Amino acid sequence: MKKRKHRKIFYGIQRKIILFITLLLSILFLVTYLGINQVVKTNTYESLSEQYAYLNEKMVTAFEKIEESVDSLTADYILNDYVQKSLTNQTFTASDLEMMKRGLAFYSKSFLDYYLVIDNKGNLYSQRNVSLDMDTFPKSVLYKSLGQEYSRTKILWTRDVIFGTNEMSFFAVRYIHEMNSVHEPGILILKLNDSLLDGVRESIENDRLVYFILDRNQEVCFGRLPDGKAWDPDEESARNILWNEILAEGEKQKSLDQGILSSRYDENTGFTIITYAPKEVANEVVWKIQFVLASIFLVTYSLAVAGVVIFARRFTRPIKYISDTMGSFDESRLDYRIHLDTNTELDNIGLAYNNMVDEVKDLMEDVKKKERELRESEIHSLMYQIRPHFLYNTLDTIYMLARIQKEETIMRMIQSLSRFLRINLSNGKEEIEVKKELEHVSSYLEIQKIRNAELFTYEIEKEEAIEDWPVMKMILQPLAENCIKYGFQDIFEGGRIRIRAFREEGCLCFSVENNGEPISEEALEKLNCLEHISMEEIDGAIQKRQGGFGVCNVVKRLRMRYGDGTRFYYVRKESGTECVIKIAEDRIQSGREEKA
Amino acid sequence: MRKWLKQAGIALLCPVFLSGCGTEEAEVLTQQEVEEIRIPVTFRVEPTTNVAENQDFAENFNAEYKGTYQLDVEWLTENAAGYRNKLKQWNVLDEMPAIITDAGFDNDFYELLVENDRLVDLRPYMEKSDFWMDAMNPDILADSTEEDGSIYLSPLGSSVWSYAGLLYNTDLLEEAGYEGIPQTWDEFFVCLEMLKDAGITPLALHGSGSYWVPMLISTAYIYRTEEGKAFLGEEFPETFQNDSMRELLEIFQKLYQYTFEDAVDLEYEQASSRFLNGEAAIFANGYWMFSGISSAMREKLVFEPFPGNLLMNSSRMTAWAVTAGYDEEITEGAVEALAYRIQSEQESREAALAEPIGNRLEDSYIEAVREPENIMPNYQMKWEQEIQNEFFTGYLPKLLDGTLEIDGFLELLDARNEEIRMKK
Repeated sequence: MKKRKHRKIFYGIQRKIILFITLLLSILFLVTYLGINQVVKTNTYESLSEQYAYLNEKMVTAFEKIEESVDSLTADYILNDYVQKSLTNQTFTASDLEMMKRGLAFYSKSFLDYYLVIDNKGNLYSQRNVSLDMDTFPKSVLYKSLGQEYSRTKILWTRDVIFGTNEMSFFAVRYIHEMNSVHEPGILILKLNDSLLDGVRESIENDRLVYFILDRNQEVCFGRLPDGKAWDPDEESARNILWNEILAEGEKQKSLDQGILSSRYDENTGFTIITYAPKEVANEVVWKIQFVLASIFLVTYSLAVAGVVIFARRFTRPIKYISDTMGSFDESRLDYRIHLDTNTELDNIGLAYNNMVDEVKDLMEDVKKKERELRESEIHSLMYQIRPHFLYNTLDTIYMLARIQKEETIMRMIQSLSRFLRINLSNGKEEIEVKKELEHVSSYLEIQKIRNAELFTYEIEKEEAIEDWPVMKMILQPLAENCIKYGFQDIFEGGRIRIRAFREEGCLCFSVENNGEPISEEALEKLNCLEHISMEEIDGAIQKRQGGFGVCNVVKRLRMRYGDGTRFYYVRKESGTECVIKIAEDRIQSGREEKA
Repeated sequence: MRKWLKQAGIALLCPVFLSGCGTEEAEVLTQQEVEEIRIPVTFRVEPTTNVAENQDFAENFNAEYKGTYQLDVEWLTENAAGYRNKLKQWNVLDEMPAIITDAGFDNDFYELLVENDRLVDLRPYMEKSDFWMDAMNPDILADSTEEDGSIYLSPLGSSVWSYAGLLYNTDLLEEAGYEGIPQTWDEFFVCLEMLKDAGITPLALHGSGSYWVPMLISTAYIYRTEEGKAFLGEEFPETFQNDSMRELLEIFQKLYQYTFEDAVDLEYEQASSRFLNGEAAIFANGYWMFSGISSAMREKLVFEPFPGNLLMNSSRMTAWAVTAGYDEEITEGAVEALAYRIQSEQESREAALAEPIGNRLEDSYIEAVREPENIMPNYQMKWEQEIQNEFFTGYLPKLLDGTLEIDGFLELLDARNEEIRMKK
């Protein structure tokens, strides 16, 4: 059932071509897609990685500039004369304090909120009223961030518990050493505001990417999501991007499907600057290429299908014509012929079809004729089954009358005729035994001999081995009749007919030979070509009035019965003519087997 | 149809194989490029003369160690005092170059550096070197060695190139009719008088800074007495109110009678420049200024000890040091540069002492320092830098123009000195 359905789907040249084209283009597209997709993905990943690394480097550069600015600012504070003086053993007067404040106010920056200078004696100097527990201060994040280094600016992100804002803020801290001689260092603390990252914001070129600056504790100091959306730690999607896509995946990210991560850890500050392209952004180029590929495929496919349909229609129209013609062939369309002129092999198919129809027509006519003949034959046979009894009874009555009157010749004639007729009819059988055939021709010759007085004598020879072999009946009588009719037409006595039945070279052979006038060359040629021409031509080959009917009848019946397993020819002799019939034994054997 | 399926299957497998062919380039660079280690160092360019100090040294070292180490020189156009001040700033900002010069000039600053582990102990490197220790004069080595045996300063191995004395323009002396070179202080002042009378500016003095040239002559003058020697030998004297200092200031005032009228307004470099242009006959300085003197002028000048055959020398003046905090490889390169400096100095010293250098000035210098008789210390090493760089600049002009007497000056000087001591 499935196979039938499958075959139905794939039926038709046009559909098959379309399906083939679809399959071929699909394979080509798939191969092209897989190849190009792989190369494009690899190249795009490398290209975008470089591009985003460059963008990240720009951010890093901007951040480094911030570091430089902050470092420069802390340097100004450190080198301030009064800050330096606060570290010495000199008395720091109110005037000094005022001068310090004025001097430090001069270092104002947009990103600076407050400063706090802690001298080496624990004194605090700030524009804000700051109170700091110097006992606990060494345990603070700010103090610890100073580390062991001599005097490096440290930027950190922590909660402001010094200046009272209690917000997460950037701070810059640095040791302040006295320049000239050995003293304990002081500490500079700068609280920085959000303007600090203005440079970083300005360095951002691509609004579709994700940007983060994380401190060494992975606290987000700066975060920017696609389309300029600010980082909101309470938003789940934002947290998901940071924790699941960036921090969890991290360096494992190696393909576009995982997004592209560029990050740089700044050893000086401990901050990590991150540029991250989500997979939607990273894959955009690939998707565009895939879309173009798909479009190309669709256009190519559509054009190919359209072309196939147009071409196939042109190509299949005569095929369809042939198909329709052949499909609708029946008895009523025997006169219909295909008319094609495509200059292709289809024309030959059309011609072959026409010939075939001719042949079929002839065959059908033959069959009809034979059926008709068969019916007539059956009727005749039935008729014969009725008539012979009456005829035989009549002939028996005549024979009894002739016997009573002692008419020997009539008796012989009636007896021969009766035997002739019995074998002739043979109850409608086509084949009889060789001995019956010889008996049949013998009856005929006996009658002819009575009719023609001393005109001829005859002799019949047969091999015993073949006398029971079946053979088509009435093949010798017409030949014997021709011997009398044409061979002895110019003589009145002395004629002799010799009939033989024998085996030779795998054939059952019959020879009918007379010693009359030899057959003319012209007649010989015509008769001998009978076995080579078609059945239809046999009737026209010889004038039937001149005795040709019987010969043609014999030849046709032999060929119809035994096909090419028979031979029929005449031999012209010095005094007389011999006619030879040869029937291949295997044909006779097959006939015997059929009979059996 | 089955055949088609087979072919389709093969076609489908192609990309699998093709994908193997299309993998990214696996070319790996195996050649390891050994990068030269760059050693940050800052050398001075004299603002007035535009002469780059230690340029030859840097070029020779870079040529010698090409492919291994390179001195990455930042040229700082600044006078010596400015450079030393910069050093202090760089230190508190943690921005010192790997090699610093003048590391021993300011004792307080040097102590600050040592105390805060800002310098690299050179002893392990010197001991590992097969020549460094041998190339060092024992006295100089001892002077550079700390009590715990550490060595942070690397002065030149000998004093040959670090003497200071007087430079005479003999053409101008001859022009003034003075024959020979003054050997005593009396002869010196006679010479000054004759030059002055001849309309030639005798001395090329300057103001500002530590008043190096006039102070050098003045300290040499007081060094002739035992009191003067004792005073100049004192490390950071508690008081300056003594006879030697008074004598120093008197002679200091006197010297300005023999110099340019605008000398107080001049920088050292300007005075030096005028001397080298032949605008004054006598100048005081050491061998280190020779590199800025043209070959023509070198034939006109001779170097002579101060009167009384006195030379000034302090090995620490030539001391360089390697700063801590750099990567080990940079530190090793910096130490290698210091060793190279010692070796180069040793070779040039031996060559110079073996045969004449070929120009009059340097030959006269070698003769003067070959067997030095009297050597006085550098006052710059003995007195507070703040006094030299700030107090002198503020008050010596007043002493010279008479608005401040010597006693008053000395009182103020002591007050500042006390203030500085208090700061520490």
